[in-house]
Amino acid sequence: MVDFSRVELDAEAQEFWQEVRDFIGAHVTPEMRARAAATGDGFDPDFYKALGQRGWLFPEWPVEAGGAGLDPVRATILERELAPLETMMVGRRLSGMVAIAIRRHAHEAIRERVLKGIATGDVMICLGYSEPDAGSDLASVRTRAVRDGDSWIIEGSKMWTTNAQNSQYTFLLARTNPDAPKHRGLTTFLVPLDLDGIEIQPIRTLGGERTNIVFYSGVRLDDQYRIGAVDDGWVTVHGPLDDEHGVTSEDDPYSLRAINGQGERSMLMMRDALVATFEWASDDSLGRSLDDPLVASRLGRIIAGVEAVAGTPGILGRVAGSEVFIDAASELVELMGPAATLHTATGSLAPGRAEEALREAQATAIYGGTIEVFKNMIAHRMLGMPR
Amino acid sequence: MHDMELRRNDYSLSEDEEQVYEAFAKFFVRECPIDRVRAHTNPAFDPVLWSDVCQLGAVSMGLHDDGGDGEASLVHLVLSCEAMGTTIAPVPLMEAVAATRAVSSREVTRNDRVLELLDAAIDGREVLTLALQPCAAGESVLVPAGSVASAVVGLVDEKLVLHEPSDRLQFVENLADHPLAWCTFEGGTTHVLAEGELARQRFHAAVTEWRVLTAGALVGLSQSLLEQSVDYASSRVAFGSPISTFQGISHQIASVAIGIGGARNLLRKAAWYLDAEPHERPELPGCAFWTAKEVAGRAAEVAVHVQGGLGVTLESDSTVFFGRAKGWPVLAGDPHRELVDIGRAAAPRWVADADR
Repeated sequence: MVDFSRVELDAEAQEFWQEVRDFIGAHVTPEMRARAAATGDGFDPDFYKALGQRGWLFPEWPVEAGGAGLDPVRATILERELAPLETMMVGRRLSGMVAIAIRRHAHEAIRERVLKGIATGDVMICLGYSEPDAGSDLASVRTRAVRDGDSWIIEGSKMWTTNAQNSQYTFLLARTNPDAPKHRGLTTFLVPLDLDGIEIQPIRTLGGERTNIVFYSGVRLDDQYRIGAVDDGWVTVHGPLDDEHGVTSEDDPYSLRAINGQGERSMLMMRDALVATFEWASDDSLGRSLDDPLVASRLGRIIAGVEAVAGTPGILGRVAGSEVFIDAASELVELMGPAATLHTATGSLAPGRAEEALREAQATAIYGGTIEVFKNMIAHRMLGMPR
Repeated sequence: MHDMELRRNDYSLSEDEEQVYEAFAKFFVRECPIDRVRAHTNPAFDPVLWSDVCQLGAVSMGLHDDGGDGEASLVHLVLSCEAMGTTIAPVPLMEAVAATRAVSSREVTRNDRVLELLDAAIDGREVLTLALQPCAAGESVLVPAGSVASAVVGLVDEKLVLHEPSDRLQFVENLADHPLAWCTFEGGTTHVLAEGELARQRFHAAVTEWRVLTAGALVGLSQSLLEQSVDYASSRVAFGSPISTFQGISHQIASVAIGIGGARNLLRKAAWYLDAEPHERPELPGCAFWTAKEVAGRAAEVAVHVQGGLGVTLESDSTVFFGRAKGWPVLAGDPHRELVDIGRAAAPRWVADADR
């Protein structure tokens, strides 16, 4: 039923919430936040390991699997507190997506070890999907994997491999049968990134985030690292891809979760900038304030957008999140004028957060599949119009 | 957001909510094909249909205190308006529900005549409506459903009144074919329901409810416009293909579907809060209204546009929907004023977030 009521938290749940805050307070220093923002590296090793040791990277996984066995209420509390720290643990979400494919399809010789490593924070996995000539049209990948006895020889290059510089493995989508139809001749592999013939080069982005291009030349990989059947990679990839699109439903008895994953993530990325703008607009000494209808109405329009995104389900919300973010970030910068374009000390609630948000917003309409790809899915799969 | 608070985030309808929607949707689809809409324009009011709608409980189910069934939540009422909106049935549902709810509250003063009018309004013999802007006596305001109402609720000179004009107010033709009429709150009989702070509160609550109910109607209307676009784009062939194969067309339609998805859910959330915790999220009704207005306007433009020249003909159903889509949202005045209120109402919550 339509229901937004409070969930009664017992004393233990409240204590748990405090415990999470204390943990973050003890482990996350302003210097760490500043470094994460300045480098765009997406990883803080000390914090990541500390989370892994408590089983808090994947808190709902059972304790014996390296998780913390948390119930949905506690897991939500933890997620609420960790979500704003995403820039210090980009690998968590990426690894979690691949974990689904590993659990389903990996050879037993590596499955438990890798999954345990993901949970403890010793292992991170990046996504080796896109290529210089294959982005949203994923099935057109050209990186080759050729069988050689019990091994495969990999040749090619992968692009936008975010967090490769910190990861132990990449989840590689390669062409194993060039004669098969486009979607059929693909196979997925879990490739250790310390193998000979792999070179990682950084790419800096508008939003400050570091991503990578990864070159593979004559890389020899044991067949036990193949994930799923040969030439069946399209199916193997789809589990995690659906998760990236935010359409996988999980057990959620209290309906606590967002109804779209990526849309809400966009709103979270905008949150600091929006809070900063409201603070600015509530301070009469700064010249303009909510008394000015030009200020109030534009903030009002952004808030209506934020609330609409929260209610927009699945892939509809993925598009809405990017569009609202891109539109609103520009609006925030324009509202606050030239001061909003100044680079300011990161972590401070200041007009500069709007400038950061403006730069970060643009990529949200591209990564994980461009919004045009999603509009095609909506037009043809959901609305059923001929394509 | 209060510190350390978890809330459910459930937009799905319960069985009971689903049933309310289905009952009204079936009724409107059966009783009100587009021909019946076209047969009742200038103004868009069909007294026989209105009586049937009232028999179905559309007004009585929403009354809190007496005279009605009082079972319905605002979510239910929004669903009934959404069902109505899909057919743009010629009935003044939003105004009548908001006005009768205001008069049915035990907090306001009702004399025998007011109670008599309320009774008649519940079963559809008379229509009560709501003037959406505060005014002074003698000032002319445009009142939705004014030309078919026997009495008008308004905030006149800071008093909440139920005004019975001496003669039926005169219909003025308009974009939405809505039964609009100018009202001055002079002449006739004026019953004072409340004064001072109570009057302002009750009036504000009634207008807020009207906005949420109208947002429901706009979402339903948008859904029908979307279906008109989808049907046409799927069957019309140009340059050798259905025009839905062109992204310039299909993406506009997809954007309407995205807008509807968000508007519908946001509206349910706004209705839930307004019922259960009315002071907790004062910005949500405005957010829901604005979002529904945006998508309805866009859905109408897209439906008219994708049908090419046919889309602008008066034979096209979409042009009938277009007038409602653009006309209903401005009944309460410039919708941008709503944005000013949203910005100010939301500020404390967001500033508090900075202090965490």
